[in-house]
Amino acid sequence: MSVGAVIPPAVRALLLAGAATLGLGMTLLVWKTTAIGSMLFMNHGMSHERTVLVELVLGWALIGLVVTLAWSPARGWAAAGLLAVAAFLAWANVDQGGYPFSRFAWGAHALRLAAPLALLLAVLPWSPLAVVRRQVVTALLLTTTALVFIVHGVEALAAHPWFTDMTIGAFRMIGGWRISQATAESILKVVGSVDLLVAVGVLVFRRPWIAGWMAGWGLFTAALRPLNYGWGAMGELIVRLPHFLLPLALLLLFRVRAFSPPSPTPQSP
Amino acid sequence: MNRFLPCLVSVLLLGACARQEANVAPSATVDPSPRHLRIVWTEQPATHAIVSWTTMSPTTKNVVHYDTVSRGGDAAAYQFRVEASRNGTITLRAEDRKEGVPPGWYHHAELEGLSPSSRVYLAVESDGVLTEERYFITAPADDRPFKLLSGGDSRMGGEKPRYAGRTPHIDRQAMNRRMAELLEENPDLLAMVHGADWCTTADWRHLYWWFEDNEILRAADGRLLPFIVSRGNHDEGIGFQENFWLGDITDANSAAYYFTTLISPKTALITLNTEISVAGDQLEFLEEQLAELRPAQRWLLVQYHRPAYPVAKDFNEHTFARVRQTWSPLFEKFNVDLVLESDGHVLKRTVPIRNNAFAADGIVYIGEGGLGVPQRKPRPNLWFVEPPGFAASAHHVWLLSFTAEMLRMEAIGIDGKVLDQHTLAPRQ
Repeated sequence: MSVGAVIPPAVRALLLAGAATLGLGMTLLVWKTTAIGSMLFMNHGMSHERTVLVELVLGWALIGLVVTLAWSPARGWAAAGLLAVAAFLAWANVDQGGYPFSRFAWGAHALRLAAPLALLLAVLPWSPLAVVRRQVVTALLLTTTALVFIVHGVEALAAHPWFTDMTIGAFRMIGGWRISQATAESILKVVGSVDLLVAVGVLVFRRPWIAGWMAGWGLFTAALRPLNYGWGAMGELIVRLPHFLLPLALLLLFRVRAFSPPSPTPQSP
Repeated sequence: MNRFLPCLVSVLLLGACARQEANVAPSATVDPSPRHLRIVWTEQPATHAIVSWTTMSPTTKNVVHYDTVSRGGDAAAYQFRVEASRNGTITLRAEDRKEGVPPGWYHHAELEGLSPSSRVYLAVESDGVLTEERYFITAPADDRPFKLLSGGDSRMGGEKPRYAGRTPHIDRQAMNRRMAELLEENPDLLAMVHGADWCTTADWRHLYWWFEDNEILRAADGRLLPFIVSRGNHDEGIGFQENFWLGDITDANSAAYYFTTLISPKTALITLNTEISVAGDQLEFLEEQLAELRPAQRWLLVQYHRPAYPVAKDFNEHTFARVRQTWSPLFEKFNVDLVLESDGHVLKRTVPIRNNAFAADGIVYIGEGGLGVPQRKPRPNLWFVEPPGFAASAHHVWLLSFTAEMLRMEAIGIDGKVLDQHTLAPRQ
């Protein structure tokens, strides 16, 4: 087996944690109703009671997938199930709209899609994949991490109103300061520019410290939701934990590559 | 290659996220006849109104002829005329073409210096083609009793497929007929306070049918009901700004849509926008307005789209929590009389609320969107709509009656029945 085939156990653990937290986060969201319920109700004429029931059942199914992910050898199937639900949710968000930049949902949700997909790729017993498994997972994490930062960077530069309010709220929480909207939007311009820079930086230079920054920033911005809006918004944090865990996995993959011995040259018979 | 492949994939995915805007299709036929005539009130409805309409081909001369007495649609007979100050092409997207709606051109004219509590008779002309005469009544400059309608979520309501822009929107049309009847029955009914989500999107394939259905909302004698416009989460997009122009308010900041309407010397309505920053400039505006208005106004109302106290959707969802945490403390500090909300597709009237608990002197929130959109069920066991509060799954519009002694609110159902009623006494 080539060096490229090896996914370090720590990376696997992070991918597993990413997929599991995604599943739990989506559970908390669908139990409160999501764009999936809205789409069934508004587009397909399903009664409101039935959409609530569908999302309740979907939540329990997600818990089943998370349990399977953690304790069953059928981990790949569970990851595929989580991927399907995450993709359906992203699609429903685009379809239903009704919030700022909703048409960017595929890009904004890229790491939610990548969490189960990367795990699936890490465990899939498919022989052509075996020799390039690490490269494929690295490329997936690299692309989706950069994409999430690009989308959020663009939204920050465009002064996404939720980001503006969370910035104002963060300053109020940190020091009791009441900053103006103009100040918050100026801060967002810096934040958005940094997001774009690190997205391009990680794609081009592939430095562990850039991935580390992305992991830290992903955790901080996810935590801003419950910090601003209370414990009721905890699902919003949990569903975004892949924004922390997957860049962290990327960091480890960069470091592994940096310290890997050169691939063995083929020997003549 | 290994290094640049992810870059390429990122660019392609980003491109896929972007939405296509189609070029405007040329008008198939020349049809300058004015359609979709509507009146919009902004800050001083006693003396000012915006008249808006659509033509289905580009026009060069767009004029409102108006007077305080009926002239029967004879353009030359009207004492006053004003040219449209805003004209333009309504943006068409690829989906609009697919749905087959005809291209449209918007026109907006401002009527200034109107007399309070007067009939304004008007006929709109585009390139020589006139509408029939219509009229509306301006807001009062004295303390007389009057009524308003309040409701939101008129974005669909019909057979499957319900999400597309296709007509007919049966329930929306039925609600428009109900409001037209209320207009007939209540000569002192002044305006419609629309809590937004007018359509599924602000794209033309949706707005076009909304305007077509709105033709129902008029009295038999040609009386129109002016709108006080708010903007909701489904009203994002340039089409909303093109078709709901608010004069200086939208000139200053085209995405803002927050302002105060002085409906009478003793009644003010603050319209807010939940789709932009709620904690920034808008919060400062709200605080200033409440501080200025509260001492002088008997009735002080606020309207916006996303509810602070949702009945059908999740109470803790951040789009509601941000409204509740940011604005409700000010409503309580300045003792707002009534808050009008939408978005939930459900009928509700909360108990009076202060500090997130029942309080006899608290704030009542009504709503929550029933102008034709499919109705959801209220969530069970919500303390803020348990009796003496009220919640139900029913199309509705609120009829608000203002007098010196009381503010009476009645939820009128699609069949005309009174589904809920409640009265408030003045705080001062």
